[in-house]
Amino acid sequence: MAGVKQDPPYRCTCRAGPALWTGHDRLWAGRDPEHSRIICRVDFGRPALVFVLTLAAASTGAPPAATVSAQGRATAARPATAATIPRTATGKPNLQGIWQVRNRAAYGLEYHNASYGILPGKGVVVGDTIPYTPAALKKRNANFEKRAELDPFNKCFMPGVPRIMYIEHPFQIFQTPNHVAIAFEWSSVYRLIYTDGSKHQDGIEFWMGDSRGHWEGDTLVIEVTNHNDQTWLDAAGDFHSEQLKVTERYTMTDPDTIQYEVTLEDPKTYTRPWKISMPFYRQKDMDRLLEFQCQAEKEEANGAFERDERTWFPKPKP
Amino acid sequence: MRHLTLAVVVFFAAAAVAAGQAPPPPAGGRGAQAGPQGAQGGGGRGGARGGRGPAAPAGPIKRMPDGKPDLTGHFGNAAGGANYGLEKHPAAPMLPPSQGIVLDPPDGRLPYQDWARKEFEARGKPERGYDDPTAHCFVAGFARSLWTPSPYQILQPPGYLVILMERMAWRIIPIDPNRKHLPDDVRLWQGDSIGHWEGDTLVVDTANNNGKTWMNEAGDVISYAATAVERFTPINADTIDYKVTITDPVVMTRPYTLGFQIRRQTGEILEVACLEDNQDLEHLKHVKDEARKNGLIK
Repeated sequence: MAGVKQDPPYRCTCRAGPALWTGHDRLWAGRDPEHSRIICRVDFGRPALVFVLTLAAASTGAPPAATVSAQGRATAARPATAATIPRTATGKPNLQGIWQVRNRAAYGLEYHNASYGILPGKGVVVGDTIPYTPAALKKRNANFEKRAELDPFNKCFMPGVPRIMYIEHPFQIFQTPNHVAIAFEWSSVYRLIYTDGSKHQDGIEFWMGDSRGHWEGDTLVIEVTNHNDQTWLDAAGDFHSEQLKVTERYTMTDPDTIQYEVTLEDPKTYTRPWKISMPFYRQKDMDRLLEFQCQAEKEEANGAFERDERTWFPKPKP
Repeated sequence: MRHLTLAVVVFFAAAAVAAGQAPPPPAGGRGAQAGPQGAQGGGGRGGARGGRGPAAPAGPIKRMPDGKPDLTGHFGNAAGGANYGLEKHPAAPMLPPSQGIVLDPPDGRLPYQDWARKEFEARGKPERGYDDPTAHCFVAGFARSLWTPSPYQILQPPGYLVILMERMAWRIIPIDPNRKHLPDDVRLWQGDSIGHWEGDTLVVDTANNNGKTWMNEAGDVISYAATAVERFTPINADTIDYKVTITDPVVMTRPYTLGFQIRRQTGEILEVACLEDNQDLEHLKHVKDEARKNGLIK
């Protein structure tokens, strides 16, 4: 590294939460996305130089911008796996494959206990609490009380973004130069994300929003607008208005993991922008998506859609 | 290597800060932002809207970097009323006309078994409208999706053809000669599709159908036993010739072939929220319940 004292050899040691990196050839090799504070010690011989970094973009994907602390040192972090993740022909991270969350965000984004119809779960909200306005908080709590009746997901309505990404169903990502498509097992819903520089539709609301994406380094950034006010964020009644703006960041942290970070802005509902963050895991055992047709399964079960013995696949013999 | 360089640059910027200069702007976040990558081809300009019309003339086709035909874009079908009947028929009460898409048998009549022809005719009655799965907003099935009067987006990511229907359903067609169909007792609304190239034609085999769908609003009949071979052949930059041969021994006396053109459209596909806005089903259920009460149907 030109310009840095080489004699005696310098040594860098950086720590972010439980993770620790040490090296001679670069400042550090990666970072834990859950930790925004990184403490580094660079030993040029003596005296040792210690500096603290607060990564402004800690929750907004890689490569992050770095701001400088009182000690006055900064650098840019780079995941160690940048060289090992799969890439497309154009050099972008290759997100193609079948993915799924492994958490309980579908039941509640905040840290929550179990209750009827709700499995317990660790929170995925950065900072733990959704910053509702007082009126919105009241409405969320009322939603929770009447969730069985009110949750649009129970009516098999399209779940919206981001909720569709962390329901307990796999999804498959496809990538072309001008589009990213995400197909979901749940009710054959899909998202078509334009990455061709085009603009959002004007004046049309969508259940699944209007998604336009671009790459920032190795992070796919998708801005989702044009939401309606009908979808919820989870089964606990967390909600938004039609003023919602969603900014998603997809960053591969290794070949089988995508860190998914979302910023939600909605001045009508929240007092400030807030974030959720969770990994998607590659479903290595699946070679294709199957189907879960929510409304069809419901109507076959309750008798509203009747079996036709002549044309339907035969029932197994008793 | 670029990444390392970036780190070095930022490090030196930080060093400058330490020396009492202005802090650097946040760096590294937008180093390799992808700009517009060029709209695809003509974006549909000059392409025909879906609907009826004479067959498009042959011309040069688009190709992918690997030389395979480029089938991507925003398309509609020119299936000429197939949603109201696969066979040619004039307008009838409650039923718009169809110019017919049956290519084989040559007389344009589907080779229905007797029971299936009777079932098709019965489905045309108002009291059977409720039985059409799409009236319930269920997915239309692998083939019907292509001739419903709604557009679709075709993508061609490496190893796949993906068709996204505006009526919120997808078909994922892996182009992989080594892939096998699902076990026989796994059955899907859209079937299980596997594709391969024969020259400039994408040939798609579909099996594992569940037989729950109808072929259109008129009630053309298909069963779980149906298997299909579809052929997508681009004939010019904006037109795909589509043919499907269906073998359905439960319903038909012999295989039959349907065909029409798929044509590039302008604009973007939108989102049809069927279930979320469904006002029709309650009415159709009432008609069926009344017919049942009056002994017209079982």
